[in-house]
Amino acid sequence: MRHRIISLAFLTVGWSLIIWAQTSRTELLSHLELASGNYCNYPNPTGNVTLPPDGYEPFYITHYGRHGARYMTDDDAYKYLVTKLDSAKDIGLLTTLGEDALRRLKTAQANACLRDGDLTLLGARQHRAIAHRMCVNYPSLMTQHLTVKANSSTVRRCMLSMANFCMELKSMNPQLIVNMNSSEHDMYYLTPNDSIEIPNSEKDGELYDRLSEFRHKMLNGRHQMTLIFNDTVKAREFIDPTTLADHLWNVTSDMQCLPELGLTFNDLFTEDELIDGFRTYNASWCLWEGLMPGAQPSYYAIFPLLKNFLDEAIEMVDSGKSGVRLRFGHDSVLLPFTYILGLREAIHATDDMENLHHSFAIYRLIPMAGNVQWVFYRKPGNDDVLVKLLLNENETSIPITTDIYPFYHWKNVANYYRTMLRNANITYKKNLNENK
Amino acid sequence: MAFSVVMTLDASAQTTRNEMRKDIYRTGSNYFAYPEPRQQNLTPSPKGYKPFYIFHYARHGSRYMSNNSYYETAINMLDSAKNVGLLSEKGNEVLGKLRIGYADAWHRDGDLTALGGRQHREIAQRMMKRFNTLLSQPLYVDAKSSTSRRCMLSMFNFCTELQSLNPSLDIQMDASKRDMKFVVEDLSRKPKPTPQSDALWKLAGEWFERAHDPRRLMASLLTDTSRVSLSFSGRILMEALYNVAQDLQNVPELNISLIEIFTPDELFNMWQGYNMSWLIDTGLVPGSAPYYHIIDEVVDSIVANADRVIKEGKSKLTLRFSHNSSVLPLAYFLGLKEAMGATENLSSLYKHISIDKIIPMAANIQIVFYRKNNSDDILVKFLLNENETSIPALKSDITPYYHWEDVKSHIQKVRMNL
Repeated sequence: MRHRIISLAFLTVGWSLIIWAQTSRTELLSHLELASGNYCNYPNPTGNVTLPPDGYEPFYITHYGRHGARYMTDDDAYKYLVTKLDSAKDIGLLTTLGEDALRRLKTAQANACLRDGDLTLLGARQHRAIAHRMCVNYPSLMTQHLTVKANSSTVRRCMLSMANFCMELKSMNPQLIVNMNSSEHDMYYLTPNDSIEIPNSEKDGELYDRLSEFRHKMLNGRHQMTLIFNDTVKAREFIDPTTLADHLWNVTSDMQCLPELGLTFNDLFTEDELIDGFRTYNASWCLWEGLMPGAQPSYYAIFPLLKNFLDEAIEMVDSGKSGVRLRFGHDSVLLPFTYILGLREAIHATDDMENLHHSFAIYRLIPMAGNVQWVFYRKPGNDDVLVKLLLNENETSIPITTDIYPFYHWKNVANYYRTMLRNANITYKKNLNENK
Repeated sequence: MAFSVVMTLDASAQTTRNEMRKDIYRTGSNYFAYPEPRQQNLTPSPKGYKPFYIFHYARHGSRYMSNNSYYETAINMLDSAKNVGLLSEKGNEVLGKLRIGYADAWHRDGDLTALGGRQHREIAQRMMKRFNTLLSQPLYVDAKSSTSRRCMLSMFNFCTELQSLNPSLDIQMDASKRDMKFVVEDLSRKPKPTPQSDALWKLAGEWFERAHDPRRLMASLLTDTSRVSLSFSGRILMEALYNVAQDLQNVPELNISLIEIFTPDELFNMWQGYNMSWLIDTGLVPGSAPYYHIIDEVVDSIVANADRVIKEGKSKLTLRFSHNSSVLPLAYFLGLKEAMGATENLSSLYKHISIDKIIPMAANIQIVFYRKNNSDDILVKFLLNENETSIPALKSDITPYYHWEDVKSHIQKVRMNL
C-alpha cells in the first residue's frame, strides 16, 4: 500500500455526541448545532469498533449515504427575505438589527447564487472523512485488491459526494478498482420509487392538520418580527410572520454547511426558538416519511433499496468473494430506510408532536452525509456469516435477537428482511403517471 | 500501445479516403472512440525550462447515444417489417442485435460508458507519466465539469486516477451552474446567419441527403422492398442504423457490431455529411457564421487563470470537462493546425479538417506552461489528444514551444475578429 499522506484533519470534521440517549433540552442547548436537524454537520462517530468473534474477518461492506453538506435546494428563502426586508428598509421599517440582518442575508445570497442544492466544501470533506475511516476501521478488508461498485442518484451533490468518497478510497489503496456510475438506470432503488402503491391511512389527514397547527405554533415569527421591524403592525401588512420565521430558520440552519462564510443568523432566534424550529422539522420529517404511528407509510417507496441491499448481499455471501458497495442519495431515502431496517434510533416515534423529539430526533438519523452500513464477517470453514449494522458509523441494533451483539447471524437478518418484503405485499401503480 | 514504431508526426497531412477505410470507425466522426496518442516521446523543453502549469480541457469519454430514439426507430421499423414477413435473414440478425443493444442502453441515454471512464483514467495516467516532476508535487488541482452527468463522471474517473497516483494532490472537483459560463460553451450566443452561410447549409443538406441513399441497404435487410408500408422510410432507417452502428464502438463489452451492414463508401459519404455540418456549424468554413465565439468566456478564463498562476509563481493543474461543441471551437480559437485550413469546397473539405481527429470521445487539448529561473519569457506547448501540435499562424523558433505572449495576442486577434 502506498504511503498515506492524508491530513488527520479529516478525522476531526464534526463533533462528538452521545449516541443513544433520549433527546433533552440540555443536550440540545449544549450542542445547539444539532437543532439544525437535517442541515446538521455530520457527527464524528464514537470510534468504537467492536472486535468480531475469534477468527472472523470482514469481507463486504454495503453502504447507503446521504450527500454531504449542501446549499439550500432553491433560493426561495433568500428571495423572500431579501425582497421583503429591502422593501421594509425603503420605508424605514427596519431596526438596526434588521438592517444588519439584511446585509448578512445579501452576502449569503450572493454566495449561494446559482448554487442551489450544490455540495459545499464541507460536504466533500465529510465524505472523504467517512471513506478514510472505512479504510482505517477495516484495514484487513480495505487493503485488498477489491472492486468497489458505486452508484449515485443523478443529482449533482450526490454524484460529487460519491466522487469524493471514492477518491479518498483510491488514495488509501490505489489497487482498488472503483466503478462509479450515476444513471437513470439505477434510480429505481436509489431514490423513492414512485411507481409503488402506498397504502392509505385514515389517520393521515388528521395528522397533517395537527402538524400544520404545530408548525404555526412553533415557528410563529412573533419574536423575529419585533427584532427586525420597528413597526410590526405595518410590517404585517406585507410580511407573514410564519413564512418569515420558516425561511429564516432554514437560512440559519444552512449556515452549518458553509463554515467558511463565517456568517450566523442565530442572533435572530433565542436558543429555545432554534430548538422549536428543529422540533417543527423533526415532526414534519417523521410524518412525511410515514414514521409516525398512523401516518401513511410512504416508506413503501424505499423497499426496492432494501431489496437491493439484500439481493446483492446474498450474491456476495454466496460468491465467497469480497467487495465494497456504495450508494449515494438523499435524506428522503435514508430516513425511511433506517426505519424499515428497524434501527433503534428510528423506531420510537409517537404522534405526540410536543414530545416527539424526546424519543426521535432527525439529527441522529439524517445529518448531512448520514449513512447506513452493513459490515459482513466470515470465518474460514464456517458458513455462519455475521453482520453488523452501523448508523452514521456507530454500531446499532435491529429488532431481532442475537447472542453476539453488535453482530447478528446473517441468516437471521436475511430471513427477517426477506419476510418483511414478502409481508409488505408491494404492488405497483397501474397508471404510472397518476401521482406526477 | 504494443509497438514502438517511430511514427512521423505529420498530422497536417491531408485525410484520405484510404485512411478512413483502414480505420473504419473514424467514419463515426464524433462517435469515434478515443485513439491512443501516436506520439511516444514528447519534445524536450528548451534548456532550463520546466513545466509548472497544465490547463487540460476535455470532452467527456465514450457515451451512450444521447437519445435512444435511434434504437426505437430502427427496432419499430424492422419489427413491423418482420411481422409481415418481409425481413431477410440479414435483417433478422440486425434486429436481434438492435434488441440487445437497446436493452443495455435502456434508461442510459447520454450516460458515460465503461470505456468512457477508462479513457479518462488512461489519459490521467499518461499525464502523470509525462509530466511527473510537476504532478508528483502536492499540487492544487482545480477540476470543474459541465453539469452533464457524463462530463462529471469523466472528471471523477480522471481525478480518482490522479489521486491514486499521487495521494498528496489537493483535488477540488465541482460541477455547478454557477461556473458554467467559463467551463462550457455559451449556447445562447447565436450569430446571425449570412447569405453565404445559408448557401453552405443548403449544399451540406443536399450532400447529407445524397449520402443517405438507402436502396442497397434496404435490399439487404428486406426480402421485398416494394411491399413495405408507407410509414417505413429507408432514409430514416439508414440514419438511425448509422448512429447505432457508430455508437456501438463505445460499448465494446457488448461484443456486437453493425458497422458491416454498410459499405465503406456509404460510411465515407455519410461521415463527410456530418463532418461538413460540424465545420459549418462551428464557423470554421470561410463564410459560415462565427459560432466559435460561443467559447469566448472559456478562452478568457484560460488566459486569466494562466496569467494568475504565472504572476503568483506557483504550480497548478486546471482540469475542465465539457463537450465536443466546446473542444472544436477551442481548437480553432487556439489556431491548432488540425482545425485550420477549411475551404468552401465542401466535397474536399474533409481533406483539410477531419473532426474525428479533433473531437473523438474523450478528446482533449492540453496547454503546458514552462518557465525558467530569472526569465519572464513563459513558454507553452499544445497537445491535441495528447499529440504535440502547432499553430500555423504563429512563428516560433522553438516549435512545438511558443512564447505565451505571442499566443495571447493570437487569441486576442481571434477574439476580436481581426
